Amino acid sequence: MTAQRELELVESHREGDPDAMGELLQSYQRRVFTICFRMLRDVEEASDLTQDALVKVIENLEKYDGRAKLSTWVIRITMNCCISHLRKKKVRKHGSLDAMRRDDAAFDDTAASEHSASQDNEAAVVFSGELSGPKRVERDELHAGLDLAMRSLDPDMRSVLVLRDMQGLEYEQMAQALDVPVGTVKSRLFRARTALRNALDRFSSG
Amino acid sequence: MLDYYDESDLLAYIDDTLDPERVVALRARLEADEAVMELVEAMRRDRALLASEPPPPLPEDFATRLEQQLVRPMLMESFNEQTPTPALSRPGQERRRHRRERHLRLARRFAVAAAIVLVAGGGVWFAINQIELPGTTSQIAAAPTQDSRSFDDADARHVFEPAEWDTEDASIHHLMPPAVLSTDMLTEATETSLREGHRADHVTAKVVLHVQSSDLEQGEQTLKRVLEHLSTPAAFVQNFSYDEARRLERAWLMERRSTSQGPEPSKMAGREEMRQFIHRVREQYHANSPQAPAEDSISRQLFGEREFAAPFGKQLEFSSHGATHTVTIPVGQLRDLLAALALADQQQTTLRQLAEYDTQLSSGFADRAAVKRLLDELYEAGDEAMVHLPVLITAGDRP
Repeated sequence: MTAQRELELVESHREGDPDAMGELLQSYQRRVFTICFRMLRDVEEASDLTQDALVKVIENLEKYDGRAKLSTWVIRITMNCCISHLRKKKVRKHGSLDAMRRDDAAFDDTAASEHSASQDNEAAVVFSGELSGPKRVERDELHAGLDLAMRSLDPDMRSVLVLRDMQGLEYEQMAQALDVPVGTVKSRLFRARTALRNALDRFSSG
Repeated sequence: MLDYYDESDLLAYIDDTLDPERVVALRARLEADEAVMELVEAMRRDRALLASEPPPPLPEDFATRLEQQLVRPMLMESFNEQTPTPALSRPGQERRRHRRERHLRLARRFAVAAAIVLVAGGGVWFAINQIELPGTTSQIAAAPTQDSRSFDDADARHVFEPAEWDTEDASIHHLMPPAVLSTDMLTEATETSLREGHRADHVTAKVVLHVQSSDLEQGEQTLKRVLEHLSTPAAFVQNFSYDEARRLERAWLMERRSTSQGPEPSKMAGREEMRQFIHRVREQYHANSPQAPAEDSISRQLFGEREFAAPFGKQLEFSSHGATHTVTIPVGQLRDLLAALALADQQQTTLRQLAEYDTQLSSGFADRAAVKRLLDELYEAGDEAMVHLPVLITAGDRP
């Protein structure tokens, strides 16, 4: 759907067209779900958060002022939901932010156990592609390691990697989606890449 | 290790956005610094790996669940106008809360009939109906034809498949399936029902109540319990359907043929014969009672007073578009009905617009706004008006 079409639908919705919202949301549901999954690494949680995000889109569409692209606006709502959820989840797991900061090893263990649990519950995505046999196994192993490493990252770092490398956003769009300056996006992205690399090294050697 | 490098250059190099001249310069430095070179190249591979992660598959029932959850806020808006709840609480949060508080819902099930609470959702679609406004009998008699789907002879014949008739009897098989319930027949039946005591203040809902239960009987039992608990004038019937009409017609034809009464079957299907059939069907309808065996009933009265039940013409209209039952209650009790059903375990309940069947998500969201409008129109009829609410009870997986 083109940006122009999206704006037309927004306008139609504001004029009372009952179909406009449906068409908009239908075009975004997969993208929102994908972002939620890549942030949360769990299908069920991603489904829940997708619903939350889309409800917020519905509720707030009247406030959309057109300064950013609609896609960026929707992504911003989605990321806010995901980051908020992850932060609450982390606090619940560790009891306090201080405990969480002190215990990086425990957090890594949590990431590993979540990864394992999600696989046991068949909630994990089966990473398979069009590669044949050994190549596919190798790729699946890499993605499994990536999943583990991503789980170990804090929400801010996860978000920039998801938006940049998985969703293909430009820095300026990321800045709008995350409501931070472009400079912050870049520095956060670099730190995230470093953290991801360290996590991949840690899990592959562990 | 990286302290002596420009972080923005490294990032740009990893992201393939660095100017070509600066790429050359950076590579020259990296070639002299093996550790950093290895780290940077690993980061480039990590970026490629992230980009190669395939998109996650949507859960099979994602669209359905999404529609279900997103219909709830709309219903909460509609039903919580006076007592705002945590009302537009996030559906995901709500879902998680319900998982934790499932045992409390069981305890509250019959304790909050008057409370306005969340309504879970799920739905199917039917043809558009119309709202009948309170008025004179003649106005009400005329109303069913206004803006309603036209039940013309072609429609009626479509419902009956001659091949499904009893092929052992060639004479019957050779009969042209009559326009048993053509428009004027239906109107006549409806008008007769109206003249025979249909209340002038009954309205027809343009929405359908869809109850997904573990099985049909469970759904019926739940509705009956809820209606009983509401302690309000009400009726709950299993709709008279075209299938039922066909069954009765066949039985009637066989009976007439076997007793050699009246014209030969091949000479039947005249208008007068159809009128007689309609009268017979109506007699059976009015003779129906909760105690009557189901096989003798063309319209099972499951609960409440017959005087409140939807006339058989209305039931037929509802059933022709898929509604299996009809509930008749005061408009003012509709919220309580839905609230109580929402608390009932083992099922999901929602209101949907009567529209053509469509699984597209966009239709679900169009439905959301449309149902809200239709409900608002319905409430304008007043709390005391009795509404005939088409109901679809389906058996499926527990929510």
